[in-house]
Amino acid sequence: MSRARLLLSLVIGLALLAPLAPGHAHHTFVTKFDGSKTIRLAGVVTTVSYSNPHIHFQVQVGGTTWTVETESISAARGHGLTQNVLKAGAKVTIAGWPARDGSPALGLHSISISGGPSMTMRRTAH
Amino acid sequence: MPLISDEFWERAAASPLAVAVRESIWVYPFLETVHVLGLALLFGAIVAFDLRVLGFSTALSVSRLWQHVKPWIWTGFALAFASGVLLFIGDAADFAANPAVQVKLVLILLAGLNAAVFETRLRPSVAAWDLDTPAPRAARISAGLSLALWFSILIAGRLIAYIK
Repeated sequence: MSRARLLLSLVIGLALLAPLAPGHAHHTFVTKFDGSKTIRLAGVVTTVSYSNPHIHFQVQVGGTTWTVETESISAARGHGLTQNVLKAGAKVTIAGWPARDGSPALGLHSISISGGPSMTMRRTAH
Repeated sequence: MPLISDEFWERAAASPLAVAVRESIWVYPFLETVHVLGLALLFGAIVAFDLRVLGFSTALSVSRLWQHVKPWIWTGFALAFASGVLLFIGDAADFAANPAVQVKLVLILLAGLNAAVFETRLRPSVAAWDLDTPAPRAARISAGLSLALWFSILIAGRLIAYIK
């Protein structure tokens, strides 16, 4: 019985410590993107992956192709970012948080579509 | 050399089923919900049983408790497994390459082996330790292992979104 209790305490203790493990957070977003920096880009949408759990699209800015991540399909639609608006060829101005690893990737804060709507997708990166 | 080629997973991810999982508005959240529901049933029933075998609430009959939890374990497993396979297919190439997924699958296999050992070697003698008696040491080790494995499976599953 004392052995059983010891084992049980160990298991529960480890489970309670798990949230402290590196890389753990409430949302993937904040582990990928640096919420302390905001950048703004203007370019043309080249590809769109209108998919769950997160929509991704690429924006050509000069010689660089940026990969942009935003919300789920239902959340994006709720903000008005439908497939009719977010499509290849659209001229967009986007603001968001850069990838922590330095790659040309952006977590989307807001998007303004030329000749279309402007919307804020999320206010903070966490 | 991976067991299954990247190309196979990429083809799976391009299949109509995978596209439906990813691109329908509510299929993905529905599957996630079923997965959590399945886990709740499976894990809840397993924890209740393992704690009894470890020595808690020995006034409960092990064999009767087993009869009570067994259908919920299998129902939960079926729901979690089916929804898990579909979620996996939705982004097969990425999931197959994800270390948290690989660890999780190995842990599920180990939990299954542990359950099979309990079922074939330990539970047959249950009449001798059914009530008010500590379970044999091997049964307690198996129950502790089961708890540790299923806790770890939950943690590995949750970490899939945070590791690549």
